Amino acid sequence: MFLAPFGVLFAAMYAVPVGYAIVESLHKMQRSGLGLTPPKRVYAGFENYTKALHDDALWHGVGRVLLFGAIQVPVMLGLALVLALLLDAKSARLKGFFRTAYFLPYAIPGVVATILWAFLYMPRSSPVVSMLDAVGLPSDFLGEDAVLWSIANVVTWTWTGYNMLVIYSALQAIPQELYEAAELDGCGPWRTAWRIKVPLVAPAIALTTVFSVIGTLQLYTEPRVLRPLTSSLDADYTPIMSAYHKAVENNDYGQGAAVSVLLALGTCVLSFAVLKISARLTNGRSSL
Amino acid sequence: MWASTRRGRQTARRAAVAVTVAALTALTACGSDSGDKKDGADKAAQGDKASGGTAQLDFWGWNPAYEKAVSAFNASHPDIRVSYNKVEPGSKGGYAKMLAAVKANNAPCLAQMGYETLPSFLVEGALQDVDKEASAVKAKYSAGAWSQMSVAGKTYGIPVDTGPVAMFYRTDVFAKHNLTPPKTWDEFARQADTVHAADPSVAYSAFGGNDPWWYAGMAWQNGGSWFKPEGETWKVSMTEPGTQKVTQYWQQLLDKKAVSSDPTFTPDWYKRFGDGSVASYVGPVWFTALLEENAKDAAGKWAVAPMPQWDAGGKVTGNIGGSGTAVLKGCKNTKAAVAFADWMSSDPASLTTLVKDAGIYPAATAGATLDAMQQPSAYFGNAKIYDIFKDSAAQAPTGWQWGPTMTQVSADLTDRVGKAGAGNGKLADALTGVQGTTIKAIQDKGLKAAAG
Repeated sequence: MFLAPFGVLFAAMYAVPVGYAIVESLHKMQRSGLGLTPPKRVYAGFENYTKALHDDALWHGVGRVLLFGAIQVPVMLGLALVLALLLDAKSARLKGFFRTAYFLPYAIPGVVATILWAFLYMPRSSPVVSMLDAVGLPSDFLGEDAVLWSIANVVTWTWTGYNMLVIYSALQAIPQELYEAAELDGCGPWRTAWRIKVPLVAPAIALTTVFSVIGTLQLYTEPRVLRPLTSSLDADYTPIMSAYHKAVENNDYGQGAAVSVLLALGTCVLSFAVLKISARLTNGRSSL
Repeated sequence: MWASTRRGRQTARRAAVAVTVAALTALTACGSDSGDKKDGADKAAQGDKASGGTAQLDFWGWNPAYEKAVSAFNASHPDIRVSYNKVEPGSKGGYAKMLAAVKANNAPCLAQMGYETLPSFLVEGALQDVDKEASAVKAKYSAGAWSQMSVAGKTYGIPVDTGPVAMFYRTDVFAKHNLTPPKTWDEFARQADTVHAADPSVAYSAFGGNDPWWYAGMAWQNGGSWFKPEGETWKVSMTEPGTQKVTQYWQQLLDKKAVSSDPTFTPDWYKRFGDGSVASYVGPVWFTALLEENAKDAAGKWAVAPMPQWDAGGKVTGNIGGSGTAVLKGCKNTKAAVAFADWMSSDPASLTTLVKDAGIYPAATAGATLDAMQQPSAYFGNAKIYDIFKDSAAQAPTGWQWGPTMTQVSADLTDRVGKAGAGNGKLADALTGVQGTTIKAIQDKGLKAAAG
């Protein structure tokens, strides 16, 4: 009974859309002749799934975001942890200001952030590129090899502050007595940070890791915004872009839905794996 | 999602329009579902006729000048009320939104549609044929344009404009190198060498490779057609001899780095048109409006000449873009829809607005004698540039046929030709590749397709 409001919301916001996607993924449009008469929607079984699993471009996209995640997530979380520890240090000054400053990029919508960075990446308009050129370091931020890391830079810029705040909040929750005890035992600030603080915020780090992994698999906004500016970003550069390309640009909603469902399953599996691993690493201390 | 969209629009500078528009595409396409549904409900409540006996029509498009034409129409036609909704340019999201609306049963009656996309909409079952209503006004339009709004003998809307091609060039750069506009493509290539040898930082012209319809326009001039319905099968031939010649030609220019291959319609791209580091562009009539708006400082420095020819003395041009007002599936008042579409495409006052504000070339034959088309253009050194486009419009081959999956072709051409243009791979391989993905895409739709 008391669960009714939750149940209704859950059904409307979660179950219905997911159910709709699954239903769509099991259908296709049937046409005949040159296709000049309106198509009929028919049941297709797992045809859309078989097609998606045999789509090389989709697998390339998956490989790309996995590579992206393997590099970008540790770098970003490492930065976030260091910044959080610095803010939490006894000697830190202007805490409020820095906390806000680091967090600020998160408040800027991803599209706008990417447009801002785009102006620094574009070969002819960017002051950064012309500066690097002047000192003999020609650079092409939107080139085939660099563009993935240019995107990683935007994502890192946007999300480091957010992750820092999560870790910082965990740091704040550590009881003061522990520090006093550590000090009595002769721990310096470095040792305290490494031996006391980091292990105690491990659950928070695990949480941000899971969020970041999910975010990585859903990479869309940044490459989509940069796409018109360079020939390095294909219509199916990331798995989500691929789903969009199939559903909307190819107008094949069944295919798009199948890719989305597969992606959702993959994300589920991967985030649970990350969760399990981190739980083991933190000796089951993870509160998740 | 909407919040970020709005914010994006406000924050980005005007020069960033290209980025922003493209950027927000997907967001608007999938983020506005709830809004659409509401519109649909309102429309259902209104029915065909509102209480005052006024026909209600929704019209989606992206041409900014359409808005003015619509308000002029509403002012002079009390019995029909058209409400115009600006959507993202077609391939940048507008088409996706229209198809989604048809799928959800709340599509507008009328939609701006590039000629190339019309057959794709038909294959999705998203168009309403209006033969009965349209046949009365057919005589007002050029045969070529009219045929682009029809498939297999049925008409699905009224053509608005075509995209005759000419050559835009910088008079200052040409004067510096003692050049006059090239008559043939051979001369074009020689001039490109001259300019490149004299100053490698200046590109003689711009390769518009990541704009799929530009590439099609170049192939169009050389007599090819990429699609042909044969019996029950779609024949796809992006490697036919005419296109191959065009492909090899541009490959040579790209290899020598004599032409720029920057992605088109970006702030960077327009910057080069403004500062003179690109000296020419073979482009459509509507590029006049874009150039004026995005390279303001270069006023008086650009001029227009006829499109270079493959054969000396030849008189064949191409076509890039052009669109019509299509009637979408589910439109209840097709009579009013055609009445408005015809008015917008043929009324002299409406055409004057569209020519002046959007640089269109009218599909209505009477458009050629419009006063606005006789006026000298201040931006182009007071030359009467429309004379050149008038000739070009009459010289574009009329046999060109589009295929049933053009949104896919557009994305694939953009990716592959764009990459080859940037030096990653060869144009010929890109075209062969797109031909393959296109055949597969048509087959995926459950239709027959083959090379040839």
